[in-house]
Amino acid sequence: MSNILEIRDLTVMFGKSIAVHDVNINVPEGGIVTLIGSNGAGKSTTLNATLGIVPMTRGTISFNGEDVTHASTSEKVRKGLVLAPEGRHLFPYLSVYKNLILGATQRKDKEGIQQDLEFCFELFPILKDRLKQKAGTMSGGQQQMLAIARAMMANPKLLCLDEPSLGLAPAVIEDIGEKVREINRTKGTSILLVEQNVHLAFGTASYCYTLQVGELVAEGTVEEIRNNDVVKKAYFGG
Amino acid sequence: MQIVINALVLGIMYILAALGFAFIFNMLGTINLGHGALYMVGAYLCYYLCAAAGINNWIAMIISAAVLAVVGLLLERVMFRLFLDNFDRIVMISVGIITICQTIANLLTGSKALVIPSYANGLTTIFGMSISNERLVTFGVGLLLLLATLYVVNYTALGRQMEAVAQDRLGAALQGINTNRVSAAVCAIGVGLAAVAGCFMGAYLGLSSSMGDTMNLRILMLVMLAGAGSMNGIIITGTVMGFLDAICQMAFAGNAGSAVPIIIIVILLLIKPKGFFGHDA
Repeated sequence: MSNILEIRDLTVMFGKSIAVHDVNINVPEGGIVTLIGSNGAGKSTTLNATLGIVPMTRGTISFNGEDVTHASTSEKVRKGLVLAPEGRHLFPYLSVYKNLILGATQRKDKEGIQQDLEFCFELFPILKDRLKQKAGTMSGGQQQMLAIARAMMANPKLLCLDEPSLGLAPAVIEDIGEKVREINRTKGTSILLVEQNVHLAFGTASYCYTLQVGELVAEGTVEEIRNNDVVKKAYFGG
Repeated sequence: MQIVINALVLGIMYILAALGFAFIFNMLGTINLGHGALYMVGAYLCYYLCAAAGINNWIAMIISAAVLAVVGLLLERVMFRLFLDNFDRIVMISVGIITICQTIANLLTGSKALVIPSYANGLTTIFGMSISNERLVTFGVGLLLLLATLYVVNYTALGRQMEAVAQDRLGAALQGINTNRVSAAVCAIGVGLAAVAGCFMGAYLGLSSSMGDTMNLRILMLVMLAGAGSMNGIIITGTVMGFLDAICQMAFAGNAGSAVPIIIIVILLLIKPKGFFGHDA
């Protein structure tokens, strides 16, 4: 199976401090991979650097067999590398509908956009009921659904999700995890899930990378990681 | 009745000049203090093109707006894009721009009182009132430009992207929106509109190197009064300010005519510091 995303030796420095050091991550085509780690481990920085939001100091990124290290964010989005960021970053004073349409900013295929809109409504029926509501007035869970739906409107090949569980109730987190698997199953979209909530991460993904203070300390299938001593220590108190 | 006409003309010119300022404020989160100076440069450029070079009024206005739009583009490229998170530096550069523009204007004109030639001559009688064609044309073109801007903001892809960038710059970038390009387009449109306002006001009130300061004061008050992020607020408060200015200039003699509207607006801002129509109002 070929990899849709390959991150090689990614290093990001903010001034003199190293945020992420020599990180290597592969996401297989059609797979769900998770990147876990505690606060400040460099998870979001890894994603942001991959998307070109944060400049990287060293490393290469290839997407879909193509070197995109120096491509702009908008080029990456056009190629199908899309991120639903931490904290959602919706457009709070715009309607749900306009938020969704903005997700398809770079697309010209009207029929495809319409189909994806239908897909989003099937996935999250609540969004269809709230089309005219301003995004900022919805509940946290609904906003997270909108953030994922907006990312799906770009017709991604790889959907990167940065902490979708942030600030949500356990039942809603469960629901989000189920929807992410459904996207992967029905659309074949590869998924890179960055999480602090290991239960969501392990329940959703099949392969797992673990970051600690900017470096990868463990990787393997979810089963392997679950029994890994380093991870156990970090997360489950030994 | 003459007051109403004057108020509407003034109001729409304030709105045109303020739109660009408000766009830059909303999208880049910084204030362009040089906006008034660029408005003044637009007026002077128009004057020299038609008075000195003998070019037709309207063509001079279009050239002036186009040149200033390019200036807006440059400003975005060399100032806002580089120093977006450095407010002090942007203010200092703006002060520099104001000083340079005003000094050049002073050197060029000295103490002469210049007026851009009239855009339209004669009078039109509507409902038994005589209104100068000049005012009608100014109001008409101003309204047309305002409607065009509203259309762009509300119904086009560029408008949607503008709102997206204004509300969440990172979120917009992640949708693949080229935020720098959108900012540049907004600066070009904004400064171009200010130039048009300058060209009309230069014919209405005459030219002076300090006309930019007067307008800057109006723009700042207007945008504050409207509140951040509100298009409709700008239009409503712009009209109100036009009326305030027109009425006060009739009712009070001399400088009191310019002071009273400012006092009224300061009082309004004391009552509602966040403005009347903004997101957080």
